[in-house]
Amino acid sequence: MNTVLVTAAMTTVLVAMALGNEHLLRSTEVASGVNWIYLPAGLRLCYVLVMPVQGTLAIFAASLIMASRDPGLPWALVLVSACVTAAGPLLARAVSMRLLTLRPNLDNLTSGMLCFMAVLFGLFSTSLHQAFYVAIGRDQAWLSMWVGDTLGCLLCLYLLKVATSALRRRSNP
Amino acid sequence: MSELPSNNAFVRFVNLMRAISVLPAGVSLDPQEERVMQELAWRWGLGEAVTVLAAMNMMPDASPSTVQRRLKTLRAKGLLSFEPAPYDARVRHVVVTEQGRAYFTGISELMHRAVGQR
Repeated sequence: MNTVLVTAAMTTVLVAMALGNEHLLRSTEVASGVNWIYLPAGLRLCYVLVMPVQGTLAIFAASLIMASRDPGLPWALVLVSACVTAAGPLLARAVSMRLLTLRPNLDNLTSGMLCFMAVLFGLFSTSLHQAFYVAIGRDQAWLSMWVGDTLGCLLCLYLLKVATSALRRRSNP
Repeated sequence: MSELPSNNAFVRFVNLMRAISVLPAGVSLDPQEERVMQELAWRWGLGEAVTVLAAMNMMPDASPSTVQRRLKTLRAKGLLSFEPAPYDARVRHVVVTEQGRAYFTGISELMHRAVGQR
């Protein structure tokens, strides 16, 4: 029950962020679902780092919700799209943990590793998405998607940094 | 005493937030660069014009080449510049830049705040 609630909450936050990104950063949109800045990418990375199982499920569910709004995409493809979206962060996590010899409790995680992971995450996520787009004959936007995911990831991490330091200052002026 | 398991989400969250909180922001100095800046601040405070050669020998516990490397990284970070002396172009002075002044002002404000909290 707890897992379901946590996953539902995580999904809601991710969908809200994706919708917010869609509306606030409309000017940076290149194609449907492809932005030069995609902030939810950072949240996806945090999700799979902190709660790999619930995080992946939340990413899958949020992607399902977002992709189902596309009328041109049949249900089977919506499902595949959600799987692709969820697989990217998980794959990036697994590869980073191996490459950076990151421990499961993240106690040796450094800011440099996080930046590296943001780039790697963008690479995996974009490559999987573009492979999917090629398979269904959609327009490709590899560069803008990779930049969008990486930039969004870094921006999201920095927003978290600013927010936490502001909270800390407020509680300890 | 029981320890938290390594797969604890809270532990991972804390470690993630710790890494996020130290993400590089603006100019960050390593401890040796900080020491070089402190030594220079002390000399500048006395009104000394510090040459690069004098700066390289100002820290008895660090080799001149180490200090020179730090001077170069501080120059690359925009906190210092090397300017030729008016009396001899071969002699170069270590001069604080606007960014360097802002660095010292920031530290000064922090000290004022810390003292004010007492």
